[in-house]
Amino acid sequence: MAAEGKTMDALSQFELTPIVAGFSNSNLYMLIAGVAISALMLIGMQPRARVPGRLQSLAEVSYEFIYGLVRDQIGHEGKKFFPFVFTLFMFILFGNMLGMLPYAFTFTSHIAVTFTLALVVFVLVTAVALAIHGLHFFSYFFPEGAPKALAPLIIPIEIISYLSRVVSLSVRLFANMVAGHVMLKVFATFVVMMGSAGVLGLLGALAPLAINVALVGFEFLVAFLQAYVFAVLTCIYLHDAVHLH
Amino acid sequence: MSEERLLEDPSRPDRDASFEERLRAARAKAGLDRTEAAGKGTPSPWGLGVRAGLEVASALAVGVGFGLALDWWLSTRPLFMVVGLFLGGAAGVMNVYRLMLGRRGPGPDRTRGS
Repeated sequence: MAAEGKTMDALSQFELTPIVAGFSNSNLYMLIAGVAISALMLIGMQPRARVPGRLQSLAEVSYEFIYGLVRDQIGHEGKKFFPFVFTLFMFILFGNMLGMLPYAFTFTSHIAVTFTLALVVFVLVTAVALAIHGLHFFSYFFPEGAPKALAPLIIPIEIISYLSRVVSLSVRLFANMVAGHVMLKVFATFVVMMGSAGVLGLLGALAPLAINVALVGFEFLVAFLQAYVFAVLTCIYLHDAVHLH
Repeated sequence: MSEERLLEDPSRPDRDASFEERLRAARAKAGLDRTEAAGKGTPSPWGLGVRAGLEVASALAVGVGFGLALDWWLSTRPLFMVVGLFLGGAAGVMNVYRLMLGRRGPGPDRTRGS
């Protein structure tokens, strides 16, 4: 699996394999993430202890973390978006973290998944802005004070800039996850290749092994950070939608 | 010793400071003050560079994509792709400009608590 013969196969880990027709391993891990999040929140909060246990602490910390984020970034009006941001954050976080388990599939490493998530955010942000500000929303694309003659130039640029959020939001998460997992796989393959080349190779294999150990730690950081970045950017976009200009 | 301390009160200003700090923290938590939450957690130079690059690239992709779609629709093959390339590049620069300013638009927009 790691190294067939002398070839390196770092991308097969992203292949979709159908488990049942129309239900791939990606879907399976999405389901696992959903069940795990629900279990964390439902079972974790079951004791309702004043001094929380470990699971309850985890549930409370994640809740308060996102609650603080939403409050700081969007403001008081933002509290109604908390369930959305929390769900989004937990789904991405669990997707990234489940991907760190051996043999697991990382569903956030597919652009189709991240793009859909970004599109959901984009549609929601646009809908919120339209619902709150109505047609005034379109003044977003033309900054006040700019000369009218420049309108045909500024408006397309602003629209492209607005639409590019979807692309940058989805590509950021997708690229980080793919790059991390490819690196892990490449260095793991080095270990196997060198390890199979006699005693000297076995000693030499220690270097990529050490790098891989460091990379695993780094990937856990990235897994958390990317979920956080996604949530923060969602909050910033929602802030822009609520407070237009 | 403790009496002397009380009279001299060397800990007093310190205590006041800590009270002020706690008050500020409490006020910020209650949402009475606008916190500088947007400015905190400034990314590393490397991260900022990657982000800026991504902003330009995605704006370019959207611009060129739009241009190609318009060309395909109106069958004016290279025209709108070129226009989209330039507009996308401009939008990318705009994105980076906004990224560097922090948030949307120039500062007053935010500090006045819009």
